[in-house]
Amino acid sequence: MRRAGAACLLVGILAAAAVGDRVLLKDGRVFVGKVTESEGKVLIEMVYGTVSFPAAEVEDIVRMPTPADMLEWQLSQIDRSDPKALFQVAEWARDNDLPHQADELLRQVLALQGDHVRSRKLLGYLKAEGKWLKVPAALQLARSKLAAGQYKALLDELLPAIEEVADDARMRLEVKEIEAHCRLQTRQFDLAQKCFESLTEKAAPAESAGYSAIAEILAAHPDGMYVVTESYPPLAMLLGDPVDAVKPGPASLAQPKVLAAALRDRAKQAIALGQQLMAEARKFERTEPEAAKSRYEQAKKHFDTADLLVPRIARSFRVEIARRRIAMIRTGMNVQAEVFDRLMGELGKKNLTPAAYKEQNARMLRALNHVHSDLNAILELAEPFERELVLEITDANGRLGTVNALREILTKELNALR
Amino acid sequence: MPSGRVIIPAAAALLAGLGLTALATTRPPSATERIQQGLTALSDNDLARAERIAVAVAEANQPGSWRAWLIAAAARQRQGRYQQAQDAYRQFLALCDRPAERAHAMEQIQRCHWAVAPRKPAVVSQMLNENQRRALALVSERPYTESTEHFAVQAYNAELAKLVARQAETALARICEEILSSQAYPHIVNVYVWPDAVEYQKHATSAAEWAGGSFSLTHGEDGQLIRRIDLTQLDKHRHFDTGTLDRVLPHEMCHLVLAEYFGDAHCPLALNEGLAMMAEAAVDNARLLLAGAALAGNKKIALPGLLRTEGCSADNADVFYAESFSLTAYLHARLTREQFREMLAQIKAGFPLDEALQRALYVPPDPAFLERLARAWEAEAIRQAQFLKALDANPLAPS
Repeated sequence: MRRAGAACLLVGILAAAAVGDRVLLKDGRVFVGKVTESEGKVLIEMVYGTVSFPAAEVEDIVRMPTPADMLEWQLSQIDRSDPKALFQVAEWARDNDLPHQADELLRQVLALQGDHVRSRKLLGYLKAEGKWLKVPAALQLARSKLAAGQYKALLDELLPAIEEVADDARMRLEVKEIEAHCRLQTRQFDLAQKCFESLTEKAAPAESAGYSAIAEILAAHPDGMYVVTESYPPLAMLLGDPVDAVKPGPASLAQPKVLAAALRDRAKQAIALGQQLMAEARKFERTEPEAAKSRYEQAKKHFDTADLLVPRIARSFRVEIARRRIAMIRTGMNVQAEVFDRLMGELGKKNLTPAAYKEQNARMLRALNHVHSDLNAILELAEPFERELVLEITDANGRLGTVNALREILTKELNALR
Repeated sequence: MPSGRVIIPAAAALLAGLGLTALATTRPPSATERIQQGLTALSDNDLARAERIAVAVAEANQPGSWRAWLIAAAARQRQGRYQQAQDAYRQFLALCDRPAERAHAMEQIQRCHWAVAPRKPAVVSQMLNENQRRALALVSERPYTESTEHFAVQAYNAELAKLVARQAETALARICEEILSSQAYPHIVNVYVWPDAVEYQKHATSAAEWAGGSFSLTHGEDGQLIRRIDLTQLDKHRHFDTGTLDRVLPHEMCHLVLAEYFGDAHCPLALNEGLAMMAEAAVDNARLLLAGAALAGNKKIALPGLLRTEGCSADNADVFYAESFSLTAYLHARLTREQFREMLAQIKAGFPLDEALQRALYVPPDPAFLERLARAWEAEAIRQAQFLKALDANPLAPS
C-alpha cells in the first residue's frame, strides 16, 4: 500500500517534470520544449510554436527522460503484483501517448484482478448478462436479442453500454442500426425515423440509400400502417408456403416483412422509372443511337437505386438493356462486316494497281478493326450476365477468333507490301 | 397499534394518491397506438377484435384516425362480410389521397363486389329446363340476327340468337378484364350458330373436323379485320347442345381475344389453351382429376415439355389439355390480377414463361425457377386431384 502511494507521488512528480528539454543559449536565455537537432540548427517545439537557433548559439541542452523511460522507471518503483498501482501506471501511459504499453499493463491488471471494471472498460469490454464482452461479441448478442424481441433490455442496457465503449465508427453505426430496428419493432415510429435519418447521414452511400428509404417510408406513415399490395415474400404464393406470407392489406411497419415489402415497393417504383426510360430509348435506337444509349444509362441509375433497396431486383432489366445495346451494336457491326465482304469480293474480280490493292487491304483492315472493337464492346456488355447472355458471349468470342485471324493475314499482307 | 379511525383516512389518502398517480401516469392510447393494436389483431387473424378497435378509432375523429377504416374494411372482407367491407373502404377512400392506397382500396371494393356477384357467365346447362331446351333445339328456315355492343349473332333460332349474344357479352367482359387490363374491346365479332355439324363444316372458317366451334381473324376485301366465331346448335342426337354456350363460345372467344392481344408474339399453346378453358362457364373437375393423376403417374408431361408443346398427338391430347388447364388455373389463383396481367405482357414482349413470371413478380432471375415452379404446381395439382377424388368417393347425399 505504501509502495502504491509512492507510485502515485512519483507519477505526480514525473508529470510535473515531464515538461520538456531545456535549451540554454549563449546569451543566457532559456527555452523549454521538445528539442530536435538538424543541419546545424536546434529546433525547440513549444506549446505556442517552434523556434530555431543555430547550433553555435546554444550553450547547453538538458534532455529530459522520454515517456518510455519514465514508464520503465515508474514500473521499477511499484509492486507489480498490486493491481491498483499497476492500473495507475497504465493510466499514466495512456495519457502520455503510450497506448500499446498501457493496454499491456491493463491486461496485466486483469490477470491479477479479472473484474477490474476500469481496466475492462479501457480495454473496450462491457458487461452484459454477467459476462465481460468485447464490442463485436456484444453486437452479436444485441442482434440475437433483437431477433428474440428483447427490446427493453436492448434499449435500456445493452445498446447504451456498447455505445459507451465502441470507439470504431462502423460499430457505432451498427449500434444505431440495431437501435433503429428496435425502435421500429417497439412501434416508436417517430424515434425510429430519427435513428434512420441519422444512419442516412453517417453510413456509406450504398447502405445510406436503404436507411434513407426507410426514414422516408416512416415519415410518410407516421402511424406505422402500410398498405401491402402483394403478398410478401413475393414468391410465397407461387412457390412457397402462403401461410407465412404477409397478406395484401393494411399491416404494421413494425413487422420486418412489412418493412421489406415497403422497400420492395420503392424499388419497383425505381424500376418503373427505369422502364420508362428504356421505352424512350427503344424509340431512339435506330434514328439516334447516342440518345438511346444515354437513356439506357439513365435507366441503369434507377436500377442501381432499386438494387440498393432490394439486392438484384433489377437484374433482368439490366440484362434487357445489355441485350438491346448488343442488338444496336450488331446493327452497326453488320454494316462494317458487309463493307469487308464487299471489298473482299472485289479483290479477285478487279484488276488493281499495287497502290489500289494496298489501299483496298487497308480499307478491309479498317472495317475489321471496327468489327473487332464492336465485338469487344458486346463482350463487355454481356460478360456481367454470363448465364443469361451465354449465346451472345459464345457468338462474339467465335467471331472475334475469325476477325483476329483475318486481321493477322491482312496485317502480314500490308507489311509485305511495304 | 393505530386506531380504526386513523387507518381509514390513511387508506383513503393512499387510494387517492394511487388514483392521482394513475391519472398522472396513464393516458389514453393515441390513434397510432390504437391503429397498431388493430393491425396486430388483424395480423393475428383476430378479425372481430381488429374490426372493433378500428371502428372505435375511426369514429373517434382524431387526426389521422380515419385511416383505421382500412383495418375495419380488411377485417370485414376477411370475415366474408363484403357489403360492410365495401362501406368501410369507401369511408377510407373519402379521405385518402395516396394513389397506391386508393388503388388498393378500389381493387378491394371490386373484389368484394365480385365475391357477392360472381363474374362467371351463367351455366346454360343448369339454367334451362326441358321445355326451354326443346325450344332451343328448333331450327327455323331462315336465320335470325341479334346485335349487341360487341356481337352480331346469327342463328336459326331467334331465342338462341338472343341467348348467345347475352352469354357472349358476359364472357367477353370477363376475358377482357383478365387479359386486357379491363381495357375496352371496341370491335364487333360476328357469331354464326350453324344448325348442325354438317352445316358448321360447310360454312365455318377454319373449322376443325372434331371441333364444335372455331374462331377466325381474317382480312376483308377492304382490308378490315374480320373477327368471327362459328358454333353449332345441335349435337349428334339433334338435341340442343348446351356445351356450345357453356364451353365452346367462351373458349373460342378467349382464343380470339388472345390472338389479337399477342399478335405476332409467341404465347405457349399450353397457356393459350389453359386460358381458353378457364374462360368456360364451369370448371371441369375431370380435367383437374386427370391432370393430378397424370402428374402423379407415368403419363405426366413435365412442365418444360408442356411449355414447348405446339401441337399434341391424339394419345396425349387429354393430358396436355388437363395439365394446361391445371397450370393456368394454378398461376391465376396464385398471382394477383396485376401480376397475372404483367406476366402476359412480358410473354407478349417475347419472354418465355419462367422469365415473364420472374419479371412480373420482380424477383431476381433464378436458373432453377422453372424447376421450383414445376414442383410447387405438381404438388398442388396432385393434392387437388386427391381432394376431388375423396369428395367424389364420399358424396354428401346418395345419388
